[in-house]
Amino acid sequence: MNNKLLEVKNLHTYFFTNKGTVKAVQGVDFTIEAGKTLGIVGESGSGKSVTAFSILNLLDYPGKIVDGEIIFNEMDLVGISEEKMRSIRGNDISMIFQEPMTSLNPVHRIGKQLSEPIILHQGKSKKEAWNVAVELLREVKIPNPENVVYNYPFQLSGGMRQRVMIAMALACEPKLLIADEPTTALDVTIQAQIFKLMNDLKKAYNTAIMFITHDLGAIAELADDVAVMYTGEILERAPVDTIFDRKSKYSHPYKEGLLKSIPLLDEEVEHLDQIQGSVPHPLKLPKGCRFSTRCEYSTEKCVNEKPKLVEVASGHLIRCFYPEVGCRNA
Amino acid sequence: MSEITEQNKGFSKKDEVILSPTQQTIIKFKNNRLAMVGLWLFLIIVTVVVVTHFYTKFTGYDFSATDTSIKNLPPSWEHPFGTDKYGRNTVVRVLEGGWISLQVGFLSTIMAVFIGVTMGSIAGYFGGKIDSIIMRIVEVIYSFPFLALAFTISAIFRDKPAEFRLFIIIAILGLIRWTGLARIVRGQILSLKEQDFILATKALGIKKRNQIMRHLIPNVLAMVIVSGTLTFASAILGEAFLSFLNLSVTEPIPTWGALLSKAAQNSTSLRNFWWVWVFPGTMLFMFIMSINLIGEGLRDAVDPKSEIITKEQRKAAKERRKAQKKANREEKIFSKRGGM
Amino acid sequence: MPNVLLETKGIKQYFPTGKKRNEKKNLKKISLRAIKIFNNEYTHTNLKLKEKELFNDIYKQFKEGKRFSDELNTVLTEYEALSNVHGDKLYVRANDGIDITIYEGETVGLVGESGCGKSTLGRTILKLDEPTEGEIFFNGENITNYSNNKMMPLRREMQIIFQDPYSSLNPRMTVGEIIGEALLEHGIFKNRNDDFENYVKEIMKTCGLDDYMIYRYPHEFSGGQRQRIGIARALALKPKFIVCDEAVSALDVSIQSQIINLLKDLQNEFSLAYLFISHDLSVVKHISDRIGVMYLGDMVEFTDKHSLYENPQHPYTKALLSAIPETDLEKARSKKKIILEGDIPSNIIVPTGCKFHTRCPIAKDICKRQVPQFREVEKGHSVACHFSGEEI
Repeated sequence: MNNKLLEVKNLHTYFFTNKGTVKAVQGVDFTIEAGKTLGIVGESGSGKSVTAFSILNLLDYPGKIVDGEIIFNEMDLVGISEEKMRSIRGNDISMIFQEPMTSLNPVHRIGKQLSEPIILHQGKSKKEAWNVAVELLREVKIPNPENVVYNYPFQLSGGMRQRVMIAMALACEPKLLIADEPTTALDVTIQAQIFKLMNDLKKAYNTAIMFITHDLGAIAELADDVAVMYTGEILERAPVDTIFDRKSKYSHPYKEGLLKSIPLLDEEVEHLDQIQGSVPHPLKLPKGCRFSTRCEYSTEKCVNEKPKLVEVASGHLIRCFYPEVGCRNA
Repeated sequence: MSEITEQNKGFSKKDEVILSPTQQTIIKFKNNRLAMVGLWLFLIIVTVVVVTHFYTKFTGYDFSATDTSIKNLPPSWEHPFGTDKYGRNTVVRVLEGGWISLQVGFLSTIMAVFIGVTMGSIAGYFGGKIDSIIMRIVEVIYSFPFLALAFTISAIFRDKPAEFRLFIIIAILGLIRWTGLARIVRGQILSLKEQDFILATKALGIKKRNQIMRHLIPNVLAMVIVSGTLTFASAILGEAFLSFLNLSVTEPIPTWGALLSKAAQNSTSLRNFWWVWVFPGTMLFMFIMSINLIGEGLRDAVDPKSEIITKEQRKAAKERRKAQKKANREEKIFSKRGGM
Repeated sequence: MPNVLLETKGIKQYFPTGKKRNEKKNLKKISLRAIKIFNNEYTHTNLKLKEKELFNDIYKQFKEGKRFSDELNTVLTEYEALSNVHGDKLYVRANDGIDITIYEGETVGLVGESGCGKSTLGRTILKLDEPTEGEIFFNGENITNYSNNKMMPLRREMQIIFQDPYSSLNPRMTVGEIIGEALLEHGIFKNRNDDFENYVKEIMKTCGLDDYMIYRYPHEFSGGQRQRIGIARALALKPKFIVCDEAVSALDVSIQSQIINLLKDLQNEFSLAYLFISHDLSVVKHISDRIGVMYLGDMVEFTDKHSLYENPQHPYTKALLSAIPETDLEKARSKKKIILEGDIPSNIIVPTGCKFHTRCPIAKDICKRQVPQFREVEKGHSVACHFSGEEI
């Protein structure tokens, strides 16, 4: 018995727009083990959110999963009926969004919103569910939860709302929590609170987390494994220590560039290293390696051929022809 | 550097097409099939009505001339829309009837747009007390009983010549219909004022006049055109309504509303002489619908979020979807066979 | 020592909310508490007296100078303090007396969380908003009361770059028009001749935009390129001072470093002074010479970047530094984390005394009562804290 909770194999999600097919996710594979956190990091347009939506089957027209398997708890979620999916969503898999205000209903009290899924999925009475809601709010460290349950979302601050969202996601003790940029809209000190909370809860509930962000620093705080995404593909996948090891023997130039382009607090440099150009247009992706248009080591082979995701060291996968640092023709 | 940005933007110098927002709007509108149908319908009706008007004017066609020998005739080749109970040819009367509608529509819309945009932009731009005063005025006018007003005014000017009464109708419609526009313009300007580029003009030291002329008005204009078309439609409908109640120009000058009202005067003509009301009714309906279609099309075209989709692209997408379906079907068949 | 380019003295920026402070509920709560204590400790003769009348009676006596037990006295003092502010007009206190000095050619960074008034300060300095109180000096001139017309020549000297690259460009103007508009307005070029176009192209090139893009509209550009257009627009007038209001916050990481490098290059080329506003301390630290930390409309610490990082004095600065997620795992794990409790208070009804005391881990009684002075603890290092430098 393996402890793979979620296994995504060769996932392809396309958007069939009138202007052409946008290949938002192309051949993504990863696994999440129970109680572990997978961080997915990428710039805007890298397909990280689409991956999450694909797992939950929340894609809107014209988006569609074209190929691949999503195996959750030994069950393939691709092509599953909407009814079955609904019982999984919110029960086994929960999601937290970037902007908590838009995912909370502004006209219902916090307590009602929290207790509803409990009544629905666990069949508790209204009063019991209400008490559970108070307990949940206490769990996410909201001060005097007895009063907060009677509040409306707009009466809470951004950090509090995000806590409510986390409480809501935890209501049914899910096995997997998908967090899509949960702290991007928050201030640094509040972000630190939320990170601590998520880390504590992870230990307490043994919940697996799929953590999506554009912030490498946030990934370093929370994740056990990291996948770096770029234009719908995973460019590098490894445990967090390998990813952030600046002296690692193998590394993808994109991740290297990202790491170098973030100013460090304790370092003095006149100029930051930068990645040239910007993310290619989703309808006009380069033929060969996706990163070849911006890569400083790009060769003819990179432009014409597509590299595969290769395991260069145990648990460390890189999609590059020249994964070894120092062996590139700069 | 340049080469890289080039690739990344996804277009090169050669195939570069620079489209201004206005050009984009036109392309989007042109590719909206329903809106184009509306536009053609509109143009045809307007042309026919204008041509008829000048034809009757120059040939001195007498609208009051009656011929009892041909009264109440059903449509025929000689009288395509039939004749009324005085023996007048309905074709000419229906087409001429549009002339009044058009006049009323255009003039009162221009009036309403002018007042609405001015008041709305003053309210939105200056805000504060001026804003609340204007918005109160708008609310007062909004809640005015239109019909009562029309009745009273029309009663006062009952014995004035027809042209003068027409002018009165235009004035009433124009003075009442500007409120919706004023609200829209005010809202637009309020949201534009929050945008950083307006703040940037201040930081750059752009004069207030230019700030309004170059930055605010062009961004509001699109919405004004859209709601202007809808005001146009509602003004024509309003005129027809007033004519129906005999509050507009009187006999012998025909208008669509008056023609309908004539037919509705007694149930015999409604039941037996259908051509008397079907034709003006259809004309009115088609005209209003065409304007509304144009308005809807403009609204979509002006929306910056909607993408430009040309006919070729739509065709290509359709074909792609077909191919996809076909592939899926084949795959299914294949897998079935494989299963067997 | 370079010349002082810009100086502010006690800038206050209050925005009226149009509301009055309503403390009725709290006052009632306190009065009930007072009655409870009173009933416990004293026996009053008239038992039929209603609560409200009874309290009014007690309060009247208290005001006339009668003293009750200590507990009741404190409650009544509290009541008095609240009833004094009840009904006061409410303001959003965006800036509460800020002094800042910017020298020619240097970068001053401003960090703080949302609602701390850093953006408002940037806009007030440029006189996009009139300050409620205080004075602004630019090049030694007091520009506080300058009219719009009088500001015109100064607009060429000071510019602003905005956060949102999407709303900061007029969608109906071409790039050339956007960049060149102010040049025509200020009469630097009389009309759109070749010279004008060449100048605009020149500016575009300096900002890393290809000159053939001059006739394009903003919607055809990516976020990073739009931000370059915004920079080019500010730069076209050849200013001496630019406020960068969260100029890189909305961009992707890889684009962010491009823009930061561009800003640095431009600074060297044109000897610009920046006021760099951001919530990202590591970016601010990279680009700035001196950094100010703001909290709820107050400057809490101001010093050069080295001493801010190596020797932070204010507990808020320390918390901020520790809250930044690091990409260096060893350091991140060894770092001592200070996690602040609670939320940022509202800047309409601000906490008494030191505004940070509600979240401060080392707050003592004095912090609730007394506003700390913004004083120099070392040369060029100013802090507003009663216990500056104390261990947390």
